[in-house]
Amino acid sequence: MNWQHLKAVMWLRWRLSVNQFRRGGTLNAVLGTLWLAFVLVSGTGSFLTVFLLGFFLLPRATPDQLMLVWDGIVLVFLFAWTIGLLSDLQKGEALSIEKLLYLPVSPVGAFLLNYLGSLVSVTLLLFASMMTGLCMALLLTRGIAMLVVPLLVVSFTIMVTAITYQIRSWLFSLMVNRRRRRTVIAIMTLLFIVIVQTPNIINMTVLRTHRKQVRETKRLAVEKLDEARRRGDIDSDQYAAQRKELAQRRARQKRESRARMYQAVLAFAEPVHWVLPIGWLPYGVRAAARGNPLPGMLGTLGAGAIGFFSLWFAYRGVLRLYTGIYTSKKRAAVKNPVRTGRTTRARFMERELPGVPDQAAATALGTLRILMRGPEGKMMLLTPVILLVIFGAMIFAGRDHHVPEMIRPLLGLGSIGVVMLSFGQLLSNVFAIDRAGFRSYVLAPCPRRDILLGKNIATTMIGFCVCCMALVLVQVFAPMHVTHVFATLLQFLNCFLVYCMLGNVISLVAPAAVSPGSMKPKQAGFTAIFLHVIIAMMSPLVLLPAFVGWGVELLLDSYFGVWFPAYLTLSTLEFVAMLWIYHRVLAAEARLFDQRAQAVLDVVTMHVE
Amino acid sequence: MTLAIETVGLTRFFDDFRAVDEIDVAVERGTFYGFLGPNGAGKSTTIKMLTGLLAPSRGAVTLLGMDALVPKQAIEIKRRIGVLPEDLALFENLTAREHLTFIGRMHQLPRVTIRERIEELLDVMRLDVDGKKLVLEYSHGMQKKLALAAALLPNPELLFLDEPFEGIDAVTSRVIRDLLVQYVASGATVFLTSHVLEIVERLCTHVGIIVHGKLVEQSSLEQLRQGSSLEDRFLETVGETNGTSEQLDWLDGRRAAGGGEEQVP
Repeated sequence: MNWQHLKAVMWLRWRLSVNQFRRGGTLNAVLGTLWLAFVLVSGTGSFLTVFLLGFFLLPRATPDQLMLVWDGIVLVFLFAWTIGLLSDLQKGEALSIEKLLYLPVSPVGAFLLNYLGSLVSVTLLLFASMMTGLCMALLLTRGIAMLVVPLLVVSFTIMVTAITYQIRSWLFSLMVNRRRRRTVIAIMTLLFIVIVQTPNIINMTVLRTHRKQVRETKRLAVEKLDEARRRGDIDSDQYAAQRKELAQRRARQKRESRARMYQAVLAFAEPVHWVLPIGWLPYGVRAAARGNPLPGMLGTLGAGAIGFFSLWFAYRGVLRLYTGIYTSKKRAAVKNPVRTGRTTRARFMERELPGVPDQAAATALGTLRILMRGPEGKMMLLTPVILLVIFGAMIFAGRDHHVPEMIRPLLGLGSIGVVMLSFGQLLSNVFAIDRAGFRSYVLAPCPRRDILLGKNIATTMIGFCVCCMALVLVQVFAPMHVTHVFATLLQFLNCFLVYCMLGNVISLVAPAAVSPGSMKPKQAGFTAIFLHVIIAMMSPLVLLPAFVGWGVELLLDSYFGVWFPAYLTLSTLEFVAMLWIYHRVLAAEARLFDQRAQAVLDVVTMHVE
Repeated sequence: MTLAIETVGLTRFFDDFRAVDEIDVAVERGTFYGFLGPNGAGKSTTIKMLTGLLAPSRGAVTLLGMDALVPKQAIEIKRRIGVLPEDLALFENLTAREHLTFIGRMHQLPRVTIRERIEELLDVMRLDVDGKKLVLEYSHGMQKKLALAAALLPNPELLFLDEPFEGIDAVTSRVIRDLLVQYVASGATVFLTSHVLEIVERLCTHVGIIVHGKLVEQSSLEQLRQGSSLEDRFLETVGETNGTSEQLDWLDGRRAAGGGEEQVP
């Protein structure tokens, strides 16, 4: 490996990014240029800003406060770095070491080139600028004792980039199998969502409960005072004085609570910083600020060693890829597959769906199989579960679970909304998951109406199952009347029928290719993105008709004291009407399919992997 | 003899670029038609227009006596043709059996027929021994064999094959060649594109040559060859040589150790 090789790889990485923007069209290229300008400006800007902040604000900060500042920087950096990792996993092309092994470089050279190439990223540029700015500010304001901080920053950066590179190499080796590749991408994305949402859920379930208790105590005290004034136990002046005293006490309690919290955080942080290598940088800064450079030096050595070993293990992985020798465990020899003579049938694909034309049934079953096997489908099934956990925590955390009976159907409708939100990308881009398979539809001797019907049946079947699971959850926390349960299920079908009609049109008019592992449009034009966003934003509107039946029943119950299952009755009528409309609209959409099939084909079969 | 394929003034533009320029193809029923041309000549574009994967900018297409540009007739045509497109038409997340079952059902074949044909096709193509592999796990050659099996499954009267032998092993290639010869002998028609002139010479009865989007030659193989080999006639017709040895005179295999372009005495 020489300097020319390194320059060539840096150029390659840059070129791949530029070409990716270009492929996205003119608007994307303009946005890309603006983004680049922003990065360059913000790189310099963040250096200056952090330097000035560190220079003027942090001289008075205690060592503990300094540690917390660095903790913040480290956490935000790791967050941004993880996003970069996910993005690289989806792209795949920039980091394929196999492509470098063809060049006249040794495996170690290819490995180093690839590792150094992986460092060319916006995140690293921004955070390196920030950390350098802060290091300089600390050196200037706190003197020579802080000299250990730049060393810590360098070793920390090597450690993080080396570990992520090792993980990335491992994931890439798993992803050699294309079936596994998509699952890895989906799991990584899901893991990321869960990690990002964990603080949110903790906040909603634990901290909000605590805040609610404090508010409740205050409310009771004020109520007690109000009552005393009403009874004449205290006059207005005493009342005002006691309110003032109450406010002061509360402010004092707040301050004390904050101080306790701060101490608790520090007490908790101490062992965490010792144990977790990502905490060694902030911990070393605190120790250096106290005049003790030893922890910082140990941290530098430790992080450097971890970085070195991570790179070493990653290199061993490359060697295994290169030589094909896996020493970790012996693999069972692959026997020559022998036909057993027993006929294996594709039983699932042979099934019939009652009342559904055969070709529509074949389309529905094929789509179901693809959705259940592909990571996109698994993601789509898990997304509503995650959303329901988050929204459920928001609704039920820290409250008594009593929801009035007539309000409970709204929770059911909310569940439908969550399911619609999760399925929106699929419903409005229904052919994207077929990729090259869409040619089979174009070549199929079958009415286009049946293809659309089959697609809609498949998505509705999955959606219906998810909706049923959501309703079971709702029933556990706030049981609905049995008529409301059935009405909600009917409303789900109504909403899905409306969304399917809309989705079919969008799928035909503004199709977009999607990358494996997600339903995120790739290389889509401005019109397609715009239409998809509009449809996603307007998706809650499909729930509007559902409120009619519920509203009528609420009205009858509240104002006339009459109970009549208006919600169920009107939902049934709406369902019949919706089926009729769907039947008519589908015929028109089939004609649109005929006109647009080739345009859709061009888009959904694009290679975006 | 009636025509299986007939196009009149078939044209396709991509923006200003004329990929296919008013070609008039005529293929009689029961013939093995080889459609030849250099890279980028318009072969795949033509086959896509004939099979309904791409709309022509101008012109008419008649397949098996029906107008392929009328939607209702196009569906009837699709019932009677089989297609192996250039980029294949496979669902990546299905197994070979599942994909073929899907194709069979779309062609409304009885379940028993689908099952029997799938078994035989998989056997002939040497595919899907364990039955669990997904299409996306297949190599390109295996995918091509599966796509060919899907094209043959409905027993079509007219078969379009875009580079069917590319990436296929020698044994299966031989089996497919024999199968196609037998298939044409039974009265079916095959429209095939290939870069391998030896295969075309061995299999085809008629040949069409397309260059820069224009159909420059169309006749029986014997008429076209006129005593010489197909390769000679093809190169003559195409009328191009891609560079000469003088243009790459540095390519002499002599290179000094050290990687630099050093003078060799």
